[in-house]
Amino acid sequence: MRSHIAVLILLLATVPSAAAPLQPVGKPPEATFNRLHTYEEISDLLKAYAAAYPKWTKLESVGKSIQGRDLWMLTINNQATGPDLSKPAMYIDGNIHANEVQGAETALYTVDYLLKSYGSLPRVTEMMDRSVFYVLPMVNPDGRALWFKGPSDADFPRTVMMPVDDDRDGKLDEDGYDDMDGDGYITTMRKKVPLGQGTHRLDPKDPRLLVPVQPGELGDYLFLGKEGFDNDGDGRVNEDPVGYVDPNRTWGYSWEPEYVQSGAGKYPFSIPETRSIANWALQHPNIAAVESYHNNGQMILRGPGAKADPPYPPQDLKVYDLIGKEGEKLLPGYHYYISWKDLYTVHGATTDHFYGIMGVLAFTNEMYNPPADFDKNGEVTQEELMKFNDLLTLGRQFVDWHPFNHPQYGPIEIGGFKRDVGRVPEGWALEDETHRNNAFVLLNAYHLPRLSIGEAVVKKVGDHLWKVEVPVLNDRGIPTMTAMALNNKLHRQDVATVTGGKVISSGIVNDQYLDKIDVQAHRPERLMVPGVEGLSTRILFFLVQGDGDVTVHYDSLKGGKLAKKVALK
Amino acid sequence: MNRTLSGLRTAAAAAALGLLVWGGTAVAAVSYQDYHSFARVEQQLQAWSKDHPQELKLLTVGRSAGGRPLYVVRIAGPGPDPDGRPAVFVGANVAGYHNAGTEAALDLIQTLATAPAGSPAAKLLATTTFYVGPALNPDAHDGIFATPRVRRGGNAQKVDHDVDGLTGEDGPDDLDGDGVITRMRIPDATGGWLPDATDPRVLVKADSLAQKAGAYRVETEGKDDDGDGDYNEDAADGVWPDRSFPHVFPYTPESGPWAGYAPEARALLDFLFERRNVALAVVYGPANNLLAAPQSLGGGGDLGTQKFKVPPQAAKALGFDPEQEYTIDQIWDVAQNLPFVRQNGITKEQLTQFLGAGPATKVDADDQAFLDKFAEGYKERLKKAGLSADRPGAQYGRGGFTPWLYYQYGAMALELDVWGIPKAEKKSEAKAGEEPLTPDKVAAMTSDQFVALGKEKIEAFLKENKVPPQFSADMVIGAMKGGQITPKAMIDRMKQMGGGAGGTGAAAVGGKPGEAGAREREVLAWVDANTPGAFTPWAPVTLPDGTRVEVGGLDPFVELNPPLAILKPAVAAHTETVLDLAGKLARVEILSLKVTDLGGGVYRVKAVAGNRGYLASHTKQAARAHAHIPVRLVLELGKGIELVTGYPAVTAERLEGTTGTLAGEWLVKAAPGTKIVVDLMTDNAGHDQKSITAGTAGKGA
Repeated sequence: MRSHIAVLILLLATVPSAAAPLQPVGKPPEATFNRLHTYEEISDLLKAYAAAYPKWTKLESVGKSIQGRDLWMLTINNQATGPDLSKPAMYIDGNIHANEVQGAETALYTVDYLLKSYGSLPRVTEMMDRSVFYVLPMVNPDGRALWFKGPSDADFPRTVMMPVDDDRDGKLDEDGYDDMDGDGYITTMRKKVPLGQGTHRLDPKDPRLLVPVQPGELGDYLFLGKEGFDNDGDGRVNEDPVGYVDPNRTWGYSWEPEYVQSGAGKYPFSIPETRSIANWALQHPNIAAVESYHNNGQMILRGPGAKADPPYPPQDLKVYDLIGKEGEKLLPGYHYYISWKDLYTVHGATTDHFYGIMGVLAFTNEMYNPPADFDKNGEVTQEELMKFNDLLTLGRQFVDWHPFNHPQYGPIEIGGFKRDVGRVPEGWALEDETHRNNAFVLLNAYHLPRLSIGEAVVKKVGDHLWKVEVPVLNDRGIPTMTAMALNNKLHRQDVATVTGGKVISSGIVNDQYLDKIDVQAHRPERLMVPGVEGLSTRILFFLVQGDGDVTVHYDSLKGGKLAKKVALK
Repeated sequence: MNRTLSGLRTAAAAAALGLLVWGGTAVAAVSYQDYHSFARVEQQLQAWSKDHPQELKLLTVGRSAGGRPLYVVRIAGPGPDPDGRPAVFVGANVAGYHNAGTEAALDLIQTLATAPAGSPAAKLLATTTFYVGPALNPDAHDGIFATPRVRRGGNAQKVDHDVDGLTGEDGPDDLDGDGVITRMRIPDATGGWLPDATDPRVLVKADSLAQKAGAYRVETEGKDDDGDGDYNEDAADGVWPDRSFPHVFPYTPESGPWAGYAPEARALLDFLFERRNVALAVVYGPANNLLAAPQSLGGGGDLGTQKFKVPPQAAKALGFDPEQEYTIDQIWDVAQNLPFVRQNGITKEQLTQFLGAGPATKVDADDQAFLDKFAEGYKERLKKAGLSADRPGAQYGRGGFTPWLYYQYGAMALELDVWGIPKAEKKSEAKAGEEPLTPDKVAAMTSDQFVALGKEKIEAFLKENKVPPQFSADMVIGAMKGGQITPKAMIDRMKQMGGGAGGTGAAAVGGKPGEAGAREREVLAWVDANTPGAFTPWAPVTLPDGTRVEVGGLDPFVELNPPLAILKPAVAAHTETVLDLAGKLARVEILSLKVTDLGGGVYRVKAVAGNRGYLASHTKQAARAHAHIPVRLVLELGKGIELVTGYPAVTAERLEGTTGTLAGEWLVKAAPGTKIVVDLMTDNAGHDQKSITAGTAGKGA
């Protein structure tokens, strides 16, 4: 039966699809991608997609956050072409960092786009017929909830809500930021002081901005950091806010403790959010590509996360480069970068885990940069940000300085940019960003391994004895087994078997013309195949005893299962 | 297991093959029936907790992969909050095949639970809490009692050891039906092993220089069940909890995919992180850090000598050359007083992290100095009990419990194997009236003292201790004079080279090329004399596929687990050792509290806290890793006391034992007669509180 399904998959994959657009049950959700959504809104939308497309989707909670929120995962799978585990899969997540919110919208965009494009866009139809999408828009739902509700700013909160004694005084989260002026935003504090006591002065071009004093100057302002009191009376302000276990430092690969990597938590997966996902992923070895959405900086990042991590094998770099460089074209302004080298050292990140432990090609997209480089010198200055605020958002982004009497600092001023500035596009630009990143994900999905068995070459070598050479083609870019997985034995190799005849010997053909074959010394009936690289053919060798038809079966964790009849003649 | 094999296990057949025969009589295998099975451990713990409800609390800190409880017994004398007192953690048999450790842990529990009032143990319990987990790998624990007896370190999780997509499809088999999985040697010209010329029971490595050709391939006893050409490569053995901890995690099928994946390891991580009062951790396991100083497991950098380039922007701000490399100390010397660094409270640790120094890889020298002191007392105690103090000690491994306890959890941590096959008595070549020169004596010498022994004595010492001939006396003397090596470093190297206790026996390592190593001979000599049944003489067996092999070798448990009668004195010595070490924990107290009337209702309060315990309040590594909160000396505010300036808390990252102090001074406004209270807090070295009345001229209460 399996072989019939496999043949069917093959048919669907190679013959242009005549599939019709999906018919939703009731009215499909009309998500808007020009604004941000709360945790509840995203959850409701996921439920609505699952209800509208019940045959194509499965919504499950893979675990609960520290505060008990569901980690929603939507699976999109064409059941008619087989169960999800039998097909190569694309995994997408977002919002692992609480403040990097638009990853959730971007992941949701792919859900909407796939379900509404099936049957009308052949390229999408092909992907959905032969592969599976696992979408987890909010890895850090507690953090998202706090970011929307506040107190929060562009950088806070970032982590999950596990209490940590940041200032090591024996008390947990006792001195965080305070929305002192009650305007719903955490902004910043500054204080005018007598000339000579300050570290800053007003920017002569724009008095809303402070500039550090230069050699030879005297300052008359102090920059006092983020809005907040010394809540615990220890002489430090805001030194122990809620958090700090950074979920993107808690994954298993190359994890290092807190004193090496801040935010690491007590041990790998000491928090339920990432632990739930990692355990779920262990049960889904069909995942062959990963995208994890972050902000910001306009980067398509690959590992290694740390200089000390082993370098990537050249076979895998070829695939990373293929997708990464193509991605730069889909995402204007983005750079295809290496984490440790071009950004900073990270231990225990999502993509390093998926590549280093699960053997899967994985990218992190750092979305958005404020499009305010008006003088095109490659740098966005404070003045340019202010110009963007004034001219493009008509002042929406900035809370003007206003006086406040601080219990520790006395008369000060409070003001600054709002939380959704700097890391998140304005609504009118959000949709463009979500679509382009979705296009990058679909480029990854396009390159998920696609296998087909070609025409076998059969030679009679004796009575009822046949030499059979079977080509297995992968006509897409991602291998069925990365070199990382192969070199480090991260998962089993592909397995080729023959039914209908007895296999006397088997192996991998290295040169079909010069008859160079790596014969598997033992257990010929279970040929272990070190995967099929992207855009290449692997030729299998069997010495078969029998007559009539035999069936060659190919079973790949990440390339699916397929079979083909071969006539011994 | 296959019992239909054609085992030819007669002395005559073995003799015909020219193999050593065990005197012609069958010798019974070692019996472990008087060791505690997991069920007996459980019963015993339940009985004790019933008999001693005041002192002893039985905790279930998690469950094994197979669903078995992970027990930790908390033992504490009467008084408030045992989880707040400085504590000792003792964990046994996380390895799974170190059942001797379980016996030692049970003895410790019994000794503490039944300590007569007024005894040293009872006094210790008044101030110190013990957490003892006697059987921390319950899924593997009963391997020693199984039929066949097979060494196992893994839990009940399913692991595909050979990553072929099948799980547990090729485990060992008791080919000779003797109830013990030993070794198997397969005649094979490419095998790389041959019998030792003097003791053919021992297999030694083939060696071209010594003109010794290989004759055997050596495997664990068992057939190739799955026909893949490998023998016993995928046993039904799960994840090894003692490889599943996060310091230098090894990423192997046995370790699981990530640190903490084994539920036993994760339960211990959680249990210990919830109890930061543990100051000292003793693991009863296969390694021994007091007989052999712990070696680096690699993985990161060493802060003392590692050099860093300062990233260009930071280099500009700090005034460093971005092309040059500097040590952390050199960088910190410059950075610490920069206004930017001071104002933002940037610590040396944060700077270290920023520069990407990586994790510590060596036991800090100051911490090692205390381990060395412990080792002295430990060896004395072993000698007094008639036990070998100069036998080799094995090293703990990557992902092990003990290195995590030290490097990340921040405890003073050591692993003790409780017992090992003793070193054979050596014929002393020393002249009459002269004390023999032992490695320990040499280790205690300075370079000058060692060189002063003279070339002849040094040569004899090197020869006696089987140092390879390329390390001549002249060379060693030169290296000592040049300062490249110290006597202690040399002895450590020698122990390292000759170490390796805890191996499974029969196949030899070390020694001269093509000959059995001294340790292998020693092991077999001891087995011959004490547990002759623990060596199965090589005897032919034919595998189902017709391959003729020989089965034999050491019992896989005997090197760590002797018969109970032999183990007992070692257990007693280890209980004494742990009680002795428990008395050395850091103890902070407020040494003095003074108040001076400055007039105008203003008083100067001065408190001095100190550590009067032997150990420091934190290990150096704990201080580097920020594993604990610092020592805090805090003036209580409110109740009529107001600070004129400053803040209520002063802290110290670490207080040395005996000499370490922390002083706090505050200017307060208070009415005469107001009670001034100062608290001293740590999470693992105790706490204290003292008070004084304003206006009473410095008399503390």
